[in-house]
Formats: sequence, structure tokens, C-alpha cells
Amino acid sequence: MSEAAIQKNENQAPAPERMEQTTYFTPLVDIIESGDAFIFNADVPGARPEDADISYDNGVLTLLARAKPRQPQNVAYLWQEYEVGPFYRQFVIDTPVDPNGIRAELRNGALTLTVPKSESAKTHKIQIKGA
Amino acid sequence: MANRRMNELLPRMQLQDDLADVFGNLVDDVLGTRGFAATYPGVNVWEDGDNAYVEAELPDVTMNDIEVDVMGDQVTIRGQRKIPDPPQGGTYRRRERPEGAFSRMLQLPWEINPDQVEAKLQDGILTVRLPKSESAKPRKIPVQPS
Repeated sequence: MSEAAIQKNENQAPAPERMEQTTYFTPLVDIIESGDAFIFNADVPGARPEDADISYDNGVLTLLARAKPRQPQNVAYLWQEYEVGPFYRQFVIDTPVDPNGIRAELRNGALTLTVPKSESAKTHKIQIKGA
Repeated sequence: MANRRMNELLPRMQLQDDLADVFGNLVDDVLGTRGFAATYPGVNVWEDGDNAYVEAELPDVTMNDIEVDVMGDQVTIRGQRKIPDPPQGGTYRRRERPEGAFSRMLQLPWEINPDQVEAKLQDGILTVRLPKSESAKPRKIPVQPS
């Protein structure tokens, strides 16, 4: 199974193509916080690692996964409950994080982002000395 | 946030917005929201003459968790989606992804040939090919001269 490790690139500010007449869908996301990281799990069915564009800029984490059409445009649906299109969502993280340590992985239509907290924000366990 | 219909798959929403999600909510309002359908998973169905195709979005699920049954003109997709517990020392701050058992039954306008049904799961998309049974295919009837 392939993996996408996406590093932050400061010069590539997120520039979603808002000008296009495209409907963006909001992916459902679970967020786990631990002492040293946030983990984002997002449902992006149909998207592959090469379709994903993840960035973090100044406290804003941007998820973009361009799920591509799977059927010809003129397919005659007998029944249709959903449309296929790009998934897009942003989160503001007000805890200092380490942008260079952000890791992304996409498999089985689910995106996992690990966002490590910066050293200052990590939970530090304090050893208590006895007398 | 969009109103989401209650069902057993509704995730345990944690409305404590620990990560200040002001921007996130704004985005929800502006962009197309993709809430839960009344049923889970959502399905699309189309046909190409000899086959019907049923597609369902099932991210983060393996084929071992899914069962596809065909009987007559009906196809049933059922299974289970498990969301793992957070790793040691972690806490869920937001839970939106659905969890639990699901089942969808669809009735096609004709009989299915159960021996040639194919199901594949790729990138979180389940696609089931349902060939028409021989009796359901159009047949050319030779006209005998009298």
C-alpha cells in the first residue's frame, strides 16, 4: 500500500481553486489529541495519495483530496445518493505545532495526519524526587 | 453545521470545540456539505445494458468487514465499521466518522445472475457488478413464416 508523506513547504501557500465552479465536499473528521501530537483521521473515499494536498500555514491546517470521477459524465444513474468531487476542510490549531514533523498517509479512502506539537506545547512528565 | 439525521451510525459528536474551529465552521457553511444520507452507506446505481453496478463509499473498511448477498432481484450490502480506540494517552477531541453495523438492500428492476456477481473494494469505494440473469436479457424472437 502506498503512502504519502507530505512535508510543509512554506512557499506553497494553500491555493484551493475556489474560482472554479466546483463543489467541495466537507470530509468527516475524527481528531485525537495526545500529549505530543494531534491525529486527524478524515474520510476521503475515492481519493488516492497523489490526489491529496495537505498544508499547514500559520496555525491553519488545510486538507484537500481531489477524488476523481469514477464513471463517465453521461452515465445514466438508476439511483444516485451522492456526488463525487474534491474534499476540502480547514482547521485552526491554536496549539504550537512542529510543521516540519507533519506526516500524512492515505489508504483505503481514509487520510491520517499526524501533527506533532512543538516542544514547548508537549506534555512533560515531571519526575518527583523523594526526600 | 448541517443538520444530520439521527441514526445508529451517527457518530458520538463531541461538541466541545477544543481546537478552535471557527474557520472550519465557516467553511462548512460556504462549501457543499456532505452530511449523512438517511441511510449509510450512500449508494449510486447505474447500468450498462447487461449489468447493473452498485457503488458505495466505505472508507477505512476492509473486504472482511463487508458482505454482499444477492437473491432474485435484490442485493444487500452489509457490514461493520469499527473506529479504533485512541492510542494510549490520546483522547478524541472530535468524532464525526460513523461507526457500527450497516445494511442496505436494493431491489433492481430485473433478476440478477448470482453466479457472476463481482465485488471489489478500492480506495474506500465498493463496486458491485450485477449481471442480468439470462431470462432478464432482451431476446430476439425469430418470426417463423407461416
